[in-house]
Amino acid sequence: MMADWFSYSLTDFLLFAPETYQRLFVRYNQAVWPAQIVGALGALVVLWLVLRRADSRIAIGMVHALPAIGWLWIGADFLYQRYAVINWAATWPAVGFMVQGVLLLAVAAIAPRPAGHAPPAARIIGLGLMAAALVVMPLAGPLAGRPWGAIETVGVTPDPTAVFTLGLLAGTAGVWRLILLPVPVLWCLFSGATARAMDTGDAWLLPVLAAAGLAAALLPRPAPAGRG
Amino acid sequence: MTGGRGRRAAAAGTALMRPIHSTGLMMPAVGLGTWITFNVGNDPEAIAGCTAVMKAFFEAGGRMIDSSPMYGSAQMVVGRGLDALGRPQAVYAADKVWISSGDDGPDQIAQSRALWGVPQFDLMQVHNLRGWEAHLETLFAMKAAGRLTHVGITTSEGRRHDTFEQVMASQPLDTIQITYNILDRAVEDRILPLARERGQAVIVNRPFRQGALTRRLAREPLPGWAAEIGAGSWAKALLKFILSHPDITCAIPATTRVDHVRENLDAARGPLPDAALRRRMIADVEAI
Repeated sequence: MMADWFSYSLTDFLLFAPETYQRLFVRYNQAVWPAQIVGALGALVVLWLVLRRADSRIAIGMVHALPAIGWLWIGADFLYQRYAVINWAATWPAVGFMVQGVLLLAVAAIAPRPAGHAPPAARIIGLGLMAAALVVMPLAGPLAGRPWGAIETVGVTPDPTAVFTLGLLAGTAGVWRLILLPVPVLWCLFSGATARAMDTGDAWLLPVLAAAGLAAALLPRPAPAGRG
Repeated sequence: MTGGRGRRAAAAGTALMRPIHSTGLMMPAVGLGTWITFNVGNDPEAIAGCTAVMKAFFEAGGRMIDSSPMYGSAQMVVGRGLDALGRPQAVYAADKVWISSGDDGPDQIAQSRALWGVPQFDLMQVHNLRGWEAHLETLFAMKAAGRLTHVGITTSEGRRHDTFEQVMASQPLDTIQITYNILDRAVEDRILPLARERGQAVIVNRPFRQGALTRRLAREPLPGWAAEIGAGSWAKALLKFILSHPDITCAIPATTRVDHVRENLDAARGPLPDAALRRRMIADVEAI
């Protein structure tokens, strides 16, 4: 039985044609417009707060609550209502996205102020990933030959939202980041495998960004300074 | 047989028909698969494209459409197409049960039937032998009750052939579905002879290796023998190779294109390669 599993290739698990996958994004983007603008503006607010090292309860709440909205929306609408129609396996990621949204909201509600900061390298990688999710990832599809209408943007489609969140977690010192890591990492594995099976020109991008985000998020945080 | 060099000929213009031996039902030798190609979700434009393929399929004399709950939205798309085409009487509805629990089989079959919008299936197959013991019990009971015409099992890409043979040998199956094409011929040794011995009709999936074979051969010129069998394309030649095996009942290529579905059905008309030409075809394709 195990030998049977080894006889499968990635493409054996691909249930749809690449054109169908592109059309899914085209139709979704048309249906939710102008949510793409709202998602990008929300991501810019989060990026700005992280750049400013804002660590008030309100700021920490916002940098987690804003992405949470994206995760919940993508899980319920894009993955469950739309993607799962052509890929029954997407039901599980849909649940994962909603769980991630709830976890982010929980962190936002508690809004614990982290003791200390992320190491400089992790912070730089984190900010870089957030910027890449905002700017580079939406351009990757058209540069790889996919239609502009299928553009993938932060807060609205899963890949850039996962990378943006990994960037956020990489630049965070709080220990809660560790429970927020599995879902985006697992999604990047799932989506990266899908892109690889479809043999898209930019299939390497998501796994590389995710690996950088995971490594940066797992870098040890300096112990908080003692109080006198 | 006619006297033409390297070929067996069917009557010109008449589509090749082969029997489902257990009931004697004659089936056009080319059907329509839905794996990947019909999994287009709720996209109205793409559903219309699939409906056009089905329309061309029926117009060209096709009957067997094969799907599965594993194929995402394909069953729903077939059902929408049948609705749009006014529920063609010609359709031979072939589907699969694909769920681990035998207890869940009847519900899944009922759901599939609702998606197709058919009163009952002509053929229900146990997909990739998943939970085959319990599902075959269900399917044979449905057949005995007159709620199903034919019962079968499927595999693909050569998987679990040992178990497949055991089930073929021990169960009163009407059909089997296997992978067979000019490069994947493992079934010739044991499975096809066993099907002949057991009187089981043979349905062929992946005739073009999910398009990989035709994409690979598209860069190569058609050999001279293609003209001998009236094949103006690699796809037609590859299908004629499959249909020339006497134990094959029906091949089910999948496509999203109307011109391709017409070409596929046309492969069942005119001459087919004989044994000598089959050997040349294999040698030529393996050499590419």
